[in-house]
Amino acid sequence: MKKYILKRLLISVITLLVIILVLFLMLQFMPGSPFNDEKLSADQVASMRKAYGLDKPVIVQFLIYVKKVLTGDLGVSYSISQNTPITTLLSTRVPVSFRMGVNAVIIGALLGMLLGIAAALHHNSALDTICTVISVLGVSLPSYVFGLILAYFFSYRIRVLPLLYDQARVISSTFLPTLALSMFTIATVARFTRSSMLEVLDSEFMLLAESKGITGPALIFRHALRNVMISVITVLAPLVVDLMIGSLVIEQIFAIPGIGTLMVSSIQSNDYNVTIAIALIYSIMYIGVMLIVDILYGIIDPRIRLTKTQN
Amino acid sequence: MKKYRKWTAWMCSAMMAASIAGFAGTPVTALATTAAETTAAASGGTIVYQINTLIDSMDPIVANDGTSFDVIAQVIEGLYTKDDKGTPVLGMASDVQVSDDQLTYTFKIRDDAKWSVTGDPVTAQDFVFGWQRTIDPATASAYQWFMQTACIKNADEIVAGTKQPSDLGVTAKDDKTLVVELTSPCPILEQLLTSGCFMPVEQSFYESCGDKYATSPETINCNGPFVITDYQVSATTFAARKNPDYYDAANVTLDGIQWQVIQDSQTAAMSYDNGDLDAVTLTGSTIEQYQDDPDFSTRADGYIWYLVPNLKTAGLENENIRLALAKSFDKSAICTGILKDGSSPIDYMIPAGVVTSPSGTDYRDDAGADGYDNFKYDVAAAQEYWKKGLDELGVDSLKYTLLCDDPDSCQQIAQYLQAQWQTNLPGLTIELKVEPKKARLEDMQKGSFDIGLNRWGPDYADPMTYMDIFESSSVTNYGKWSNADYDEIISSGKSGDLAKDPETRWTKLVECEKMLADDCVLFPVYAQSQAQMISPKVSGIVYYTIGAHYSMKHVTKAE
Repeated sequence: MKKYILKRLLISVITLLVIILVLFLMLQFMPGSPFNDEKLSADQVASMRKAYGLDKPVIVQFLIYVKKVLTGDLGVSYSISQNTPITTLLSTRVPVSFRMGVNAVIIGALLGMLLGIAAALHHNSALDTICTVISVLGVSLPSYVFGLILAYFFSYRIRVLPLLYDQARVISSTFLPTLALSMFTIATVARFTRSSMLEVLDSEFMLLAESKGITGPALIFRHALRNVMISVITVLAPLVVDLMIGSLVIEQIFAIPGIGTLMVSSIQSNDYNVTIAIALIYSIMYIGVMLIVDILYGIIDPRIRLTKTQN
Repeated sequence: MKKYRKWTAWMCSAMMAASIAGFAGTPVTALATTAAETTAAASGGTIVYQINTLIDSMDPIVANDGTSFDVIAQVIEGLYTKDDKGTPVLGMASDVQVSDDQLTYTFKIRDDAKWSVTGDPVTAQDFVFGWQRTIDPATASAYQWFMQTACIKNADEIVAGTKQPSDLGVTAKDDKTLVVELTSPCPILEQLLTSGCFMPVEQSFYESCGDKYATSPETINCNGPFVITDYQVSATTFAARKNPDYYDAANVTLDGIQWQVIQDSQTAAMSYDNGDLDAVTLTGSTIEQYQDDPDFSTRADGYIWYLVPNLKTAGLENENIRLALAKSFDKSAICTGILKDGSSPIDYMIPAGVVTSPSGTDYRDDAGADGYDNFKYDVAAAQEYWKKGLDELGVDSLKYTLLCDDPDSCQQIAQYLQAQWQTNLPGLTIELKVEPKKARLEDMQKGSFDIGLNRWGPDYADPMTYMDIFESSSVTNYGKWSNADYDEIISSGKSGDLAKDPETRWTKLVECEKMLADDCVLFPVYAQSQAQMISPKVSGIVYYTIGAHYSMKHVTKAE
């Protein structure tokens, strides 16, 4: 297992370097530059490019950037927050998005699994239909629609929750956006849980377990759920990263200082360092989550670990 | 099986309730009071003001967007500030002496001017350091060119890299005496000196902050009517309180300002209705929703939108074709049908109420109504010009691409223009090209466009801020129109003989706009307005069309 993790880590580092290089090249080909402001002369633009080292060849810029990244320096912003170190810029926003993302994943996974289990156990009943409707709505409606509906009812009509993000009331002011964000996860997890659960409930080992006298929570959690978890984790893994990286529209509706808005602004204003830094965080998280998922597979289902070891 | 079905059904509902209640953390009854609490806290003289973009920097020397300058103007003051009419008046300077040749200005810095964080007096050296930072290529200030426009000695050479920032024509004779040397008289110097890039910076404080400068209340050294009390980089909420050490503190009525960044107009409107905000800007569909509300108002902000024909594109060099295009679309329908925010159609370039002559008259009054027929909507005349133009070119059809930015309103305007032009000018095909602004600007700067929809905002209250766009050598002369007489007026008005004679300069700049109309080198569309809601409890916000857009100095908020 150790060897496997080490190998995966090494591949991850190489993947990250390739991602940075590809991003560098893509940003070079992107039309516009951070400095083509309508009021700057060509000389001034050239002087600004020089000040930020953007006059150097791309490969030199790339090597300088990698060297800096290795020392924890992600450079400075060119236009969104000019001359501010990216680490400072992200330090206030990343925790906000991460916190909301993690909460959305927890809510989504818990409620989704409960809905899925309930639907499977009450197969073809009214509860099953309700769960299916919720799942279809959650998957087909974008999260910002839920965001707007929740904001309208809970913050505007009955005013029980704040509409705008407030640092002094983080929990209450992020409740609605978190719920809106988690709707897709609830629906996706519920659908997968339901179908996996139905499959598991019909399997012979469940009949065997029941005939051995195992009933109630023990039967569900120790036997059925453990098998259902594999498919849930598979769908949950990419959702975790998506949710943690923030959502532009949800952030705009609830005025949340997350990284979703920052990423879109940075692309629009050609603020290369900010774009690359956020993409880098995204990539690290994605690779990290995938690694964790692989390890989790082994813990949940020892057969997977065994197969890999044998291979 | 039945047993665990019941159990899971119970767990399902219990955990749903538990996770919702547990996550909320705060009892619902307590949450219900939060909005009210915010309003109550704000009613003691703190205005809660919505802005729709983030601040790019609180460092006045590197800030490069309107929102940043608006906030900076409330907390940092330069040699001049603006009165309620937008006229520059002495701020940090208590007195100014101008040499006979108008090339040397000697400013006395106020004895009662203090920095908020360090408590040190504001000195002439602070201005020298601030201005040298602006002109230093290493700072990468987007407003270096203001120093050149102000004709500050050696500014051109420093930008060109042949001299050092320390050679800039600004020196501290002593702690309270600042001497500014110009290469040519600058009739708009006072206007320019109210801008962010001319603000003072206390060198020792700046150096002690390092790269944390202007990133928190502790690193934002203020000398203006208000002092920043809550701020972090790219924050969506931040605040300021009245500066008791401000020299004119007796006339500052407001206790504090809280800014709230809300990009979504619908959210802003709902927050305003909830009483969480005192002033909001509306965009898009929310304008229609609220335009009958008594708190609704609009105000012109000095920006103009116009179409630029590329004179290097085949066919557009023909004046009749340009005239046909300029006269064949109904701009009032754009304002009333698409924008609905109070924007007004214009048949000229400089909107009313933005620039005034040396004798105090408005530009539009002096320019009169004659000489702008070429910009007026008249389909019959347009069709005649069109026919004549096609005959001269020897073709029966033309095809052009209209380039515009990606926001919805720009695309809707472009679609409307496409429909109007194609309907009114037979044989004309218009294709649309939509790009993000930076990419659109790059295309226009390179000349890779046929017709472009462009916006322009004034930087100082003088016709030159609009007129020098069309100087042959200007980077903003996207259409590549060139006229030697026009260039001569612009050049002389900036730093030649005309610069020494404000009255003649004014008359000549009025002529310039008519030259643009004669040759039809732009197609004016509309003067931009902002739709807003301001609480009846709030009074005294002064709005400007130039530079920082508002002043909160004399705002009062009723209980």
